[in-house]
Amino acid sequence: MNARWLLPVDGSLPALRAVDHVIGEALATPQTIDILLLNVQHPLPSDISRFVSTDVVHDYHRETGDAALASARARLHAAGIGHAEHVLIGEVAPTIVDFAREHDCGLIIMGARGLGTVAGLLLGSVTQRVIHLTDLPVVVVK
Amino acid sequence: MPDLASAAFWIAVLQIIAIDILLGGDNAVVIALACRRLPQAQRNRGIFWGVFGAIALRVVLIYFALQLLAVPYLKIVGGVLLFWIGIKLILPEHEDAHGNVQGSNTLLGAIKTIIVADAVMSVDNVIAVAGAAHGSIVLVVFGIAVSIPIVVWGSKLVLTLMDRFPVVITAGGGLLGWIGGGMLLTDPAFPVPWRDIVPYSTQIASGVGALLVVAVGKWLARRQHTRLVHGELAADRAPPLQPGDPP
Repeated sequence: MNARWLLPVDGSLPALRAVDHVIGEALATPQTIDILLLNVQHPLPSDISRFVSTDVVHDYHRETGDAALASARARLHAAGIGHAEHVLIGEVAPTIVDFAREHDCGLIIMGARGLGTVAGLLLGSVTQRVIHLTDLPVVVVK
Repeated sequence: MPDLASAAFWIAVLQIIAIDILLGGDNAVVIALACRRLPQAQRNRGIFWGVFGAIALRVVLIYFALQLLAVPYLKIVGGVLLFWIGIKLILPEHEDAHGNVQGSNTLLGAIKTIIVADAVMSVDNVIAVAGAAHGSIVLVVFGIAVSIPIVVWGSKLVLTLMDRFPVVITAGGGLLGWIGGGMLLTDPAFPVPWRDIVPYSTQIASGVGALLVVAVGKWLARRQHTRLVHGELAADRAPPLQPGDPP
């Protein structure tokens, strides 16, 4: 079975540096690595979603998730590295951790901090929470 | 005229702005989402009338809000309603709780969604503003005035805010609980001596309200978490791409 790496991205610069790191590593090893590109969408408040049908909300999340994945996808493509893409809805850090467990990932690679920089400084970033919650090795790319 | 030098006045102003961003912004997001699937020309018309309705309802409701809040027991009702509004804000989207308006790719469907949302959310917004204004008509009018540009332009702002700083939602729920708690206590039906005997009673009631809303909201959200995690978006199970696949 191939090694499987989880690469959660949010479209931010640190996330893209993590993508570059993965590209470098993947090109350096002779074995094939399954790369799972993941974007987790924070759910909308029920205040909003109770008025709008599930389809429309999912459409919105899919579109936003797709935009967040776009730059990472482009870089992997340019490097000729195959990957799978997933967009999930949920509380970001626990969702990443659960996804990694359910998909038998051996490693999580992510940027040191994502888009929520200010909140990250005050409250701890998603990356810190993932490190705290998961049993897997985590590579944090600065 | 309100006392411009008092801290209480400026705290109320800040509370009202925060409420407007969250509740007015949510209203804007619902309008935008309801019109998503319409053709361009209809979408613009739908958004225009949706925003118009949201603003008109708020203006009409201000008048009633202040009158009603003088009636005994209604502040108690308003306070409890604010707890509920706060909890709804904290609760994440839920598969079962989605609106069942499936065919909103017609203008009529979108209008139906928007009318219901505008009505409910304007009431929420006005109750919250009235609670934070402590009976000052100047502040209520100010609160509604601030909500207007937010309903018009705020959907992107609120979506970005929620995406990057999800904690804002929890804080907003807590704020609504805080205002609700204070509102309960100032109901005319409440015995005044009781308020005078207990020191800091308003702050205590507000604090308990805020804690209640955040605790209940978070607890209910946690119960939903497992289900949401498995809510993978159906069309996203792309097969792994092989090197050399066309982009």
